[in-house]
Amino acid sequence: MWWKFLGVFLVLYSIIAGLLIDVPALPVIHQTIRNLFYHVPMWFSMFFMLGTSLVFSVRYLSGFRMKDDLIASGAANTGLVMGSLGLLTGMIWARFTWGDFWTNDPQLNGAAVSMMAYLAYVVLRGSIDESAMRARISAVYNIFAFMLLVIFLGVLPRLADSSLHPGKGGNTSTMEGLDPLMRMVFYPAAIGWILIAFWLLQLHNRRRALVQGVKLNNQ
Amino acid sequence: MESDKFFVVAIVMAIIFTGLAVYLFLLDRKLSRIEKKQSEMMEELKRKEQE
Repeated sequence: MWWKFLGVFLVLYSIIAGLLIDVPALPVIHQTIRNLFYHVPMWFSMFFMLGTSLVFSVRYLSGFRMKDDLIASGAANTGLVMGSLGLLTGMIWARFTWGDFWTNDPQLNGAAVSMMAYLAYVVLRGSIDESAMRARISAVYNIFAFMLLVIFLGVLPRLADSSLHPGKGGNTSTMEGLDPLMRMVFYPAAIGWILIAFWLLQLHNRRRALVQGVKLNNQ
Repeated sequence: MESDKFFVVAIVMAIIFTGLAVYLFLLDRKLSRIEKKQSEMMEELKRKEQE
């Protein structure tokens, strides 16, 4: 329970401090650099959700308990929500700094491809009626989808010749160049949003467990 | 910084987020109550089957 309050507190802190601190004056992005505190944590929480999904898919395959399948699919759904928020906020930010909603940037295209891979996961689940078969096939596919995510968001943008995103395509890393005062807001914001995402995941799964009659904890 | 009135925006956003957090918290409590009720019903069913 305590971690939910911690998450709320950290995000509140990041909202208030993120608007009030002085940020370095930079060309082009100007004050919109503050979006770092709100846009980037969406992707961080997406990664944590999809990582949780992978862990529970592997757990399902090693024990075939429906509980693990329920958590894995719930985490993939929550990850998709966080990723969509990341895409939308990123598009708005890109429109006013890079000039277009969608630029031909390896990071953006990679994000689009990996979101598609997870949408395919949802479609795949929806197309199988028999629950044990659905759980098994989607768990195997989920491992593949996570590999795609790592390749398209973690590896290829870094190997690309150029990217507008910091830390990619030979740019200096975001974290290396980050202003120390901004770090004091960015890290709490990221942790806070990750905790909020886990809270949403827990609520989502508890509701589905009630409806499906699955027991989540060993009562 | 004073003339920017950034703090007004900060207060508004903080209120909105707090509202959402309170909503999540109430939802959480409601779920706990339903979970408790469901497990009680399950136990009662088991007891009746044994009788």
